[in-house]
Amino acid sequence: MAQTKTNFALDKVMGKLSALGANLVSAEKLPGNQAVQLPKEKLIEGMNALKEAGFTRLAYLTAVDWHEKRHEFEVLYFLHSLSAAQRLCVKVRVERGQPHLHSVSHVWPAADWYERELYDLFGIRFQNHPDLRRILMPDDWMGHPLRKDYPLTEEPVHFLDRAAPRLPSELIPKKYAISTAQAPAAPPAAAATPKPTLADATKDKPAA
Amino acid sequence: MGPQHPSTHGVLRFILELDGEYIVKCKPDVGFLHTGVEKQSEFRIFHQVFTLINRLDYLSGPQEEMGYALAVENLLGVDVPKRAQYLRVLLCELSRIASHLVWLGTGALEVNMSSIFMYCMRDREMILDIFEHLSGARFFPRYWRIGGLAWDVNEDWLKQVKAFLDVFHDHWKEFHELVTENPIWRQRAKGIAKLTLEDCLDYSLTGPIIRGCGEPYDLRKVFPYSSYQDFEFTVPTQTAGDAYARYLVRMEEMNQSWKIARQALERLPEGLVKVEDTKIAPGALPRPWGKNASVMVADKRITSAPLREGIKIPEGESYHAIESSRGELGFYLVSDGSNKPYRVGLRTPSFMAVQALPKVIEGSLISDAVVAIASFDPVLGDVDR
Repeated sequence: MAQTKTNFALDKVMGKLSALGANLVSAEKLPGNQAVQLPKEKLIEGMNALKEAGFTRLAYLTAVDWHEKRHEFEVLYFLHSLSAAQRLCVKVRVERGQPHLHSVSHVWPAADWYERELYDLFGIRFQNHPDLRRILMPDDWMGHPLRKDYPLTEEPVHFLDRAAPRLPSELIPKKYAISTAQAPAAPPAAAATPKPTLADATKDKPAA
Repeated sequence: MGPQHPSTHGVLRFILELDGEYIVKCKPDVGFLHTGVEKQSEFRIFHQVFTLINRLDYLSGPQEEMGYALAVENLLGVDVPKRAQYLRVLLCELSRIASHLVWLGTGALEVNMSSIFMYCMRDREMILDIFEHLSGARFFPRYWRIGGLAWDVNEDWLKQVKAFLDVFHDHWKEFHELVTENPIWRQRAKGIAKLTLEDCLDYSLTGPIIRGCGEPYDLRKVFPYSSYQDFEFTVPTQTAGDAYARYLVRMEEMNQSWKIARQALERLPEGLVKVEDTKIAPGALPRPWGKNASVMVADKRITSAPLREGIKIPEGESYHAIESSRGELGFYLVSDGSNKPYRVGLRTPSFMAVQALPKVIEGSLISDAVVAIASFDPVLGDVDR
């Protein structure tokens, strides 16, 4: 699982990265065991240097919303060097107020859709992106769903006849509902259903 | 083209600009199947996320469960017992065969070869029966648990797997005879949807696509997980980079998966299928084997067990990638120390494949675009998440 080899591909380029203000942070459970924290302003220079050093593939690009803890987004670039069989994670912090970041889609074309996805779901604006539109949500959607201050809601389904199916929160017995501080509304009290017992579950089943 | 088009394998829409029969410009439009799995996962306990994520790539459910389970176990810092690892490998390889069989059957159907489709579905049905026997569900066995597997297998089930593996290799040879040298198939697939290795790296294409361009990149070999280093298998590659090369790679992969599955079955060690720590994997409930056993029974037991509250996963972040039938399937997890994930990031191979499709479609005939899509083998649940 955890890889113990030294990251030779990273060692080659680390001097250059430190000059740009990057530093190593420990990330034991991420590929490569280490992550590079890169200042936002030096993103393009840093990424070009990493690509030259052999990290030719952008495996994944994602973000985390540290809404309450640090009031910022953390954007993560998962890079992969095929020749050295090394992986590396680069982290960039973006403030949450007016999040914007330079696009790396001209360094790795794969970033194009990943950045559109981050714009769609987190609202991070990527400068110099060729085509920054929503990708997964409808074009006229309001808000950015993966932000932590965007609640998870449910909508009743409307039918032409008077059938009105109940909402999931009304269907799930309360004892199974998991209490959550993030949930937008407490589920209304549902009709008490008999608790399934082990005896019920195995009543008609032949023994192993 | 699309979103309801028989050859897009799901709800994929292409906005095409045509010059006669030739495609001048192509813009994929995705998102029709977006169900917000990443958002929903943040409101479920770690165990419940299995149900959401194995519906992404609906042709290879067990592999999705595998990737997620490994990411959580990575965060927990536990290693599952050898028997569980081998069983996981066995199921993943069976599901890889099932997934490639669907690809072969539907891919051949695109060029009007319909008999192979029936043979593929016959064999896939045998694999789905194996899953059903094991867990009560055919597509999404939901057999993985954090820290191991739900229950141990029994002799009947092992016999069923052995019976399938005994006949599959001969069937696989028949597929080769039916398709590989077929002049129509060769004419339709050779030289179509050509990619270079640089394109694959630029667009982050993995799996059979990059192996069809000559790069033996397979996560099972490069970064082994779940005891893959114990098994003898090769990573098939082709250098042509076209649809026919990808076909040959996938065909040989089925053979290799068959080999791995046989080894896993023969060398299956004795022991537990769960970690011993009952806080991580509570409730050693026996599986009610038999004709009427359904997944409902199993899940009722799980919800009534202490599992209901879930387990608290230590604070931290982890990324674990596995080799799914379509390429690198990665799970990025962040936990804030509670019983629910703070963030679940899904690196799905099909998302990148669809992004790269215009590159091979532009400039080709419409009828070749159909073959190009089939050779990339995207699953739209995997794209839209």
